[in-house]
Amino acid sequence: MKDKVMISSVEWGCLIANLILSTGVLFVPSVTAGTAKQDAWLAGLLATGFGLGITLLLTALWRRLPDQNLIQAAETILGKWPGRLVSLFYLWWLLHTTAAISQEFGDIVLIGFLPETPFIVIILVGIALSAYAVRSGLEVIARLNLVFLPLVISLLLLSHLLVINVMDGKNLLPVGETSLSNLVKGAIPTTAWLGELVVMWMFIPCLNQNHEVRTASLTGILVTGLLFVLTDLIVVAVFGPVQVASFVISTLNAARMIHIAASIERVEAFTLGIWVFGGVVKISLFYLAFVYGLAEWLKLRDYRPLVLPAGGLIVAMGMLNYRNIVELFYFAGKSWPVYSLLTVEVGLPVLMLLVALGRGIKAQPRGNGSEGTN
Amino acid sequence: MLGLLALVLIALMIMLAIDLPWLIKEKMWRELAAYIVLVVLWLGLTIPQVLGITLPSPSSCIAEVFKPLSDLLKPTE
Repeated sequence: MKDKVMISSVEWGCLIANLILSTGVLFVPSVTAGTAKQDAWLAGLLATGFGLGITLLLTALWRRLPDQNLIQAAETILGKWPGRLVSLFYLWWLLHTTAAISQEFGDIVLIGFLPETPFIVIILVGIALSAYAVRSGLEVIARLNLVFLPLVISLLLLSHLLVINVMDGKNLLPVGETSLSNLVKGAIPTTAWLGELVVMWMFIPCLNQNHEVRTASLTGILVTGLLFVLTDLIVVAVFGPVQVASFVISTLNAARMIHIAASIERVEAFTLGIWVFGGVVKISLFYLAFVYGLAEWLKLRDYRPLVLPAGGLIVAMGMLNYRNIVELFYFAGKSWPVYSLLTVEVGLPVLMLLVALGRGIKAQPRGNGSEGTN
Repeated sequence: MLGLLALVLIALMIMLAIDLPWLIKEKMWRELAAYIVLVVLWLGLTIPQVLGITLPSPSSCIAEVFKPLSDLLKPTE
C-alpha cells in the first residue's frame, strides 16, 4: 500500500492526546477512586510515570524502524510468519477495541443524554461520521483534531473550574493513606489508557519529522496524564472517594453539580461536547488504524474499499459487546486494561524490542536532518 | 424485525453502490475479494442479531479469560 500522507509532530502529539483523553477522562476517576480512594490523584501520577515508560519502550521500536508501520515492523523483527501472526492479533485487538469504544460512545450518549433513542441510531451516526473521516484519510483527521482538541481541553478545564465552589478539600484527606500496592492497582487502568498510544504505530511512516517522534509522544502522554490527575483530583474533591467509586461516569456527575448564581446551570452539555468531539476522533483513529493495518496485512493497494464493510463489522460487534452498562464498566475498568497491557501494549512490544536488540537492529535516521541516535 | 432487516439491506445496497463501481473500473480484484469477505463477515454477524439470535460476545469471553488477573486489581485492606 503506497501512501504519501504526511503529518507534523505537533499534529502527532495532539492526536495522541485526544486519542487517550476523550474516553479516559470520563471513566478514569471512578475506576481509580475505587482502588486508590482519596489518593486517586497519586495513582494518576504513578500511571503517568508508567505511561511515559511505555512511550519510551514504543519509541525505542519506532526509532529503529521509522519507515515501517506495525504490520511491516512485526514482519521485519520477528520474521515472516511469526510477524504476521502477531500483527493479526493486533488487528483483532484494534477491531474489538474500536467496537468496544463505539459502544461506550453509544451507551454514554444514551444513558446521559438521549435515553429514548434506540441504541442503533446513536452508534450508526457515530460510525457513519467516523467512516467519512477515515475515508478522507489521516491528514484530514489530524487537521480536524487540531480544531477539536482545544475544544475538548477547554470544555474539560471549564467544567472543572465551574465546580470549584462545591469542592471540599477535606475529601482529599488524609493524603498518602493508601498502601503502595493499592496505588499501583489503581494506576493500572489509567496506564492501559495511556498505552493506547500503541495505535499510533500504524501511522509511523506518515510522521514527517521522524526524529521528533520521542519528544512529541512524550509530550502528548505527559499532558494527557496530567489532565487525568487533575480530573481525579477535582472529581474526588467534589464527591469524596466512596461516592465517586459508585458512579459510572463521574465527570458527567461533576458537571451536573454546576450551579452558579442561578444562571449557569445544566452545563453537562460540556461533557457531551468532550465526549462527542473527542470520541469521534478516537473512534476514527482506531478505525483507521484497523483498516490501514488490514490493507497492509493483505497487501492491498488501497485501504479505502475496506472502510465501509469494516464500519458495518464494528457496528455489528458493538451491538453484541455487553449486555448492560455494569458489564461495560467492569470490562473497561478491570478486564480490558489487564488484557491490553499484557498483550499489545507492553507484552508484545517488549518481546519485539528484545528480538530487535538480539538481531542488532539499530536506530536509524530517515529523511532530512534527523539525528537518529538513541 | 422486518424493519431492521430492511435497514440492513438498505445499508448493504448503499455500501455496494459506493464501492463496487470504482473497484471494478480500476480492476482492483484483490481489493474486491477482501471487500466481499468483509461484507460476508459483517452480514454473518448482523443477520443472526436481527433475527434475535444471541451470539457470544468477545468482550465477555475476554473478561472471563482474564478474570483471575482482573481480580488481582481489587483493593486489599
